[in-house]
Amino acid sequence: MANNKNNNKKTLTQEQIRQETTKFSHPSMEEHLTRQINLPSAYNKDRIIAMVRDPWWVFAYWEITPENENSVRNKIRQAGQNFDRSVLRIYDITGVPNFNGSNAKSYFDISLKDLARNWYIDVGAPAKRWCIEIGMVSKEGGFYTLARSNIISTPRFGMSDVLDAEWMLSDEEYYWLFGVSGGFGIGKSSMEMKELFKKRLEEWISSGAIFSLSSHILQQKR
Amino acid sequence: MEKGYLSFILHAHLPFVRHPEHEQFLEESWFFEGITETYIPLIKMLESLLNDNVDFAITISLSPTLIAMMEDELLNARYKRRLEALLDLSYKEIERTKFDARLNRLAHMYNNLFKEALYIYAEKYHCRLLEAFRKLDQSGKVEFMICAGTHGFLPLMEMYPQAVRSQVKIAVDTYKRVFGHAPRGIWLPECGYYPGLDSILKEFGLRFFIVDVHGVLFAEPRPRFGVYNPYYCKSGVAAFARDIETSKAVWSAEEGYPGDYNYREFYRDIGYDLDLDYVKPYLNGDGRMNIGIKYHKITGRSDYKDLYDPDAARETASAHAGNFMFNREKQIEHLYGKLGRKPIIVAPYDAELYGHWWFEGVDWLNFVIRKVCYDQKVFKLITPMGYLKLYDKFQIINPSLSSWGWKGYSEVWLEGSNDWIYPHLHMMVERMTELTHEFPHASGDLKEALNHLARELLLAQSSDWPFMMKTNIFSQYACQRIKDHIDSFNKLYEMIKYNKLDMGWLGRRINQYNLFKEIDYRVYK
Repeated sequence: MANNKNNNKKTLTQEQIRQETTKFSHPSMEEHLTRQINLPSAYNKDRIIAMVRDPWWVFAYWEITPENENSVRNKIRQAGQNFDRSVLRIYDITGVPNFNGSNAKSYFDISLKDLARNWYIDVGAPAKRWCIEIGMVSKEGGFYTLARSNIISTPRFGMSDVLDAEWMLSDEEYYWLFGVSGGFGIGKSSMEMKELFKKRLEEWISSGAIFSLSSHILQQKR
Repeated sequence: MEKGYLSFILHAHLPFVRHPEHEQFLEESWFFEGITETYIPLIKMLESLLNDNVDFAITISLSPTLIAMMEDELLNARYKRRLEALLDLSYKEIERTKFDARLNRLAHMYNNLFKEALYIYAEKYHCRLLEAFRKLDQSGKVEFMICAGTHGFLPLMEMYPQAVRSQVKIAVDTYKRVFGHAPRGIWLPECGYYPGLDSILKEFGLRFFIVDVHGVLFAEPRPRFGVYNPYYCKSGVAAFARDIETSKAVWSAEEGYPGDYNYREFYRDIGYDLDLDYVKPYLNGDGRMNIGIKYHKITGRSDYKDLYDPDAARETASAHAGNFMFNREKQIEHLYGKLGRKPIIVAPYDAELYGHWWFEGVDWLNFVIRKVCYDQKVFKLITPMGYLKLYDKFQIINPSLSSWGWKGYSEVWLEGSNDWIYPHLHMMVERMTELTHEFPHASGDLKEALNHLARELLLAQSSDWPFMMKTNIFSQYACQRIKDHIDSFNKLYEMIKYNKLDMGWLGRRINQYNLFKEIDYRVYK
């Protein structure tokens, strides 16, 4: 463990830093952009982290320590059961305030290959809350958790149904406004607009055409 | 009375690239090109507007890493040398092209541009471009925004609010030091917003940010004015949404103005076109690269490129400015009739699009601003803060997760080529937080070390690295940079944790990455 001993030393002033660097020139720094860097393949910490990629897809990565894995395997044995496979269990916890592992609205499993360290998950459902567990399933059907993720929410895709009493518009007006705002153009009737809106939204996301690639200065270099 | 408003927002950003250990370094030319081709022309244009007393308003965001590079002595000295070399080359070009009147005229054009740039940079502002921005800030017509510390993509940091807080805090502190007052707006890197981010912005006194179209359109409850009005989040911070029409007009490769055949061709540069021995002294590195002298126009879709004609290009820019203004008049008149409120059209662009990529872009902007001021009465230019003062009430909504990246969410920065970075980045935040709790009141060397630990973390979080990996442009550099920051972070973490600080090593790291002098690691508590 570190302690505060360093506090007694003199502060490293900018002047000292300057001197120090002239003193050493930069032999080690010269290589710092070509040197071979091996990043740790693990941090010896049990964790699973969930991230939202878009309204339909989430990403999770994990690290499970051998100790944790062994202890869960032992638990399965002690329960008189047999290990079957490792899975990701994706819980839909929309509207569940305190998720405790057993009060989700629903869940589905993804079986994992041995070496998988991360997974893109097609949850296929915008506007929902999710929690992911990595765990082991026994042949007898028991589920044993290795780690539980943070809670994430996929965003809504489309117009909200929640109206603001103070700022009301007719449906026709909303569709008109969304049509021009989104660059979808203007339909003749509200039904037409609804259909058009839906169609255009889908095109919008699949083509990516209206989104600019940012960081232009980098993008344009060859 | 005007019926609505147009708000130009230019976002200027480059990742922190500074390599004192190399005499020349290719990636430093991003910064050098940015200065010559975008920042100086913009400063020149905005100053001319002020001199001519034009009634205008524009908003510019400067990223803290860009600010740090503009403040750096070494980069400033290198840039000045670079510009002098370009000027030298342009004299040679005048000589080389003296038997070809059309080419020779272009050589003179570059010679004049470089002379003027050198005057503005070295004589007028003594290699301190921020001095120019401060003056513009004081004019009251240019509002400067800040951007997150190292341009970290915030939606992918949501699970670590302390990491988001640190990105925002260093940005606000940098801005205060540079401009002498607090920023009011923040440019969210890549327009990346997630629900709840606004309350962190609120903690730092920020008043508004910009989101992409669907950030507002998909908000809850339904937004009453589409993208043509700001909204307040529950925290009281305002969200403005990007307008699609104005984006397309400038961004779109097919429909946008920059693709006009009269405009300068970006990819025909003498760095590639001329004899290698001749241009070699002017390449900032070993291989061929863009030098910034380009003699051709887009001409057409084929590889055949005709010589550039500056008069024709200028006329085209003026015509495009007229067209842009006309379209805004129609758009705003139409919306004004329907909305029952004066619309604001928010038109944000990457600053480097202007001048660097679209050579005539700064002229175009100049024409638009002057025409809007003198040639019509339908709308005026405004800043986001200016618009917020116009009405007492704005609707309160929860904007939706969104970005302006490809496909509108986080996929650009989270996909097969770059997802490997997150286990490291997240562990770094956890370790940073752990040490902050362990040493809440560090001083001396330890404090220096903890502050630098935070610096390495911030540098690793730049959205530029995963972006370059995804687009496979400079991806090797991006991988090496991020690995270097992760590795150095881990090394320093161990040193602090086990009380084995190597002050020589640390001093060299701090010297190399000398940005964010006001950093305070305790933000990770």
